[in-house]
Amino acid sequence: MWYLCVFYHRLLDYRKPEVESLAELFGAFSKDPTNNADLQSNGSASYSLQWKLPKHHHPDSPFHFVNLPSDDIARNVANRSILVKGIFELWGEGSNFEELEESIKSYPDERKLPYLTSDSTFKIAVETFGKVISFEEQNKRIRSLSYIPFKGRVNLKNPDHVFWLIETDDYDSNNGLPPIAGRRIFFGREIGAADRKLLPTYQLKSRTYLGPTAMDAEMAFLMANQAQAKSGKLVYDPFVGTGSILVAAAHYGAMTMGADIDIRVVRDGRGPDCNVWSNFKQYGLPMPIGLLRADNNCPPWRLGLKEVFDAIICDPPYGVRAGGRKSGGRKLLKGVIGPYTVPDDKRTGHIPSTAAYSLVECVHDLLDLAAKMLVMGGRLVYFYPVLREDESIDTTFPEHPCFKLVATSEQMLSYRYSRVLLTMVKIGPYTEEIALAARIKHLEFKENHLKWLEEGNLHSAVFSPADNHLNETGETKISKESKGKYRGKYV
Amino acid sequence: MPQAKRKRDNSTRNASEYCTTNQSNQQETTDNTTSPAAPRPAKIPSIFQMRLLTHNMLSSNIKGVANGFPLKIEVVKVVEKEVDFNIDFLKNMFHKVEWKALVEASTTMGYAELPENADATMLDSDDFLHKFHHALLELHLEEGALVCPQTGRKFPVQKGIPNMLLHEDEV
Ligand SMILES: C[S@@+](CC[C@H](N)C(=O)[O-])C[C@H]1O[C@@H](n2cnc3c(N)ncnc32)[C@H](O)[C@@H]1O
Repeated sequence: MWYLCVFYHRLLDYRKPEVESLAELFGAFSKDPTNNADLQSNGSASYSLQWKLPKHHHPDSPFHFVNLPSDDIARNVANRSILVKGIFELWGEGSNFEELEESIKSYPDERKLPYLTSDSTFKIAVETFGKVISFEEQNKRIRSLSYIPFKGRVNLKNPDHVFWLIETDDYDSNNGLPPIAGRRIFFGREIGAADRKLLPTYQLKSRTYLGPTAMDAEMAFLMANQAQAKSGKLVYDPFVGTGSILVAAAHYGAMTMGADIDIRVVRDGRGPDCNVWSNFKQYGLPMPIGLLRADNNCPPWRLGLKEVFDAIICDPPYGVRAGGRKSGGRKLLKGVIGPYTVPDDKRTGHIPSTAAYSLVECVHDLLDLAAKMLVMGGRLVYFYPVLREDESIDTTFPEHPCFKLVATSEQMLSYRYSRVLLTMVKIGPYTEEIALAARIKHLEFKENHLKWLEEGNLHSAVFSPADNHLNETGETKISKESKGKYRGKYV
Repeated sequence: MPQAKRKRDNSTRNASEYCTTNQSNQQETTDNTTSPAAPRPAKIPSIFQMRLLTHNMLSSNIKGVANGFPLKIEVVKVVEKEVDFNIDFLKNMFHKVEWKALVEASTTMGYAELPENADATMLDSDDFLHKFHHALLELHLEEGALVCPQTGRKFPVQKGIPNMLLHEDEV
């Protein structure tokens, strides 16, 4: 059934993937063909929904139509989402109020009457996009709906049913909204909506233990939704830092585990009441199952351990703010001195030196870890940095034979840099061959390190995808003019 | 925080930090009259924790080590903490756990109630599930070490965090 889905005008690229991930989580793609019009003919899993745009609407519009199997699924999706302002059963629409009336009247009574009964309470909300209307004007519009046989009592605080009259006027791009040509009015019954009260509760400002790269609450929750975190599942963050991503996963009931190479962050924090553990305690969330200090370049898992995590979610250590480190010292990699043995008496207090960890290698390690450690159907959700040149992203995203990339969501951080949230689903088992290929690659990287270090352009190697080193004169050609009135992916 | 500053912090703070923790750890050892062989669970609730599920997943991946699992547990301080019982999670984990290693580890931690062998049919027993739950999630090693069974190399556990980072010559 088609529903009207109205989004918050934020993080535009993240909106549909969130709905699709949650739809799958709540069973929209069940294999029961009577249940699902979208089932692919071969019966294999599908990860996307059917979407339509209202007439004249730009793809960045907050208004979309989405096909979902049932009210229950639509409600679950909307209520758990972060970016859905509302999912509505559409009772009618039109370019003016006359058309709207006709449309509502022709909507089948058996769909309308159960929500108009005398023993129910209701409320009508009026929402306008592109213009502001007065309170009187709103009331006038509500009264104009008198042809709908509402029998129930009005209850503004806690109604059984909420109806929305939503109007979009034609306007030029405005407040970061894309331009819409042509007025459109919708009337529908609310099925569900995001609970954005979560965000102030979890906002970083009130977090006891914060680091410079802690993930903001909204993004952390979006990541947890992409990963389909829920009770009974185990979620791992190999670059856990202060734990902000796992906090979101734990909120949805998942068990969590994390690792980080930086022992001060993961073990010490800022004292007994201000550390990764206390970030969970603060919200009354279950503590992580385990936190460890480990290098994702040489993971500490036992040989036979496979398919143990249901999801891996992380913000890997690349980008400008927190460069990655891996064990095995710089000197060793550079070959200046031979393999160096740590004297026995120095071992307990020894701090292993760390070498820079390039983007390609970091992603390679992450994909290999995920391919091995995720259950079939498990999800890898992580950020990938891209350099924007000439306003277009020409990016090929990392690929792996065990994975299918199901969503890419870009967020522009500056004129030059974006980060893209990638969601990959494990669709193939981790075979011996794949393990061997990964091992060879791993050794190759060790040599590449040497090269990068000697050429002295490690930074660009860290920040750009493989074989795409920018010439690091540091000059950026993109002028300020490229910032148009309509801001698209900046919001 | 600018990168350069971060780096400087790293090098200066890291060393001293490591020393102080080592000292406090030693103090802990001497203060604690219980011998490592017979650990007594501490009473004061603590938020630091390494559970046996984690132990069951880890191994010593030092270059050249063929049998790095299971790591021996050297106990300095064990805490017991009640954790919400989640049956789905337990069933999910049961198939992933190396049972023998879990039995040994929980015995070392002072809990010897697990059956020698286990199979999936036992998941129907409430009594079994509660024992499994207790061993897997409620016994925490707060201070101690995980020891490589082949080389004896110790991976310290401090404040519930196992330090699995390898030295240069172990990678
Ligand atoms: C971008 S931050 C992630 C921050 C985290 N999301 C948070 O909420 O605080 C990347 C983290 O990766 C860690 N890191 C860098 N190199 C690593 C490696 N080789 N293995 C594991 N962790 C590493 C850094 O110490 C840092 O905490």
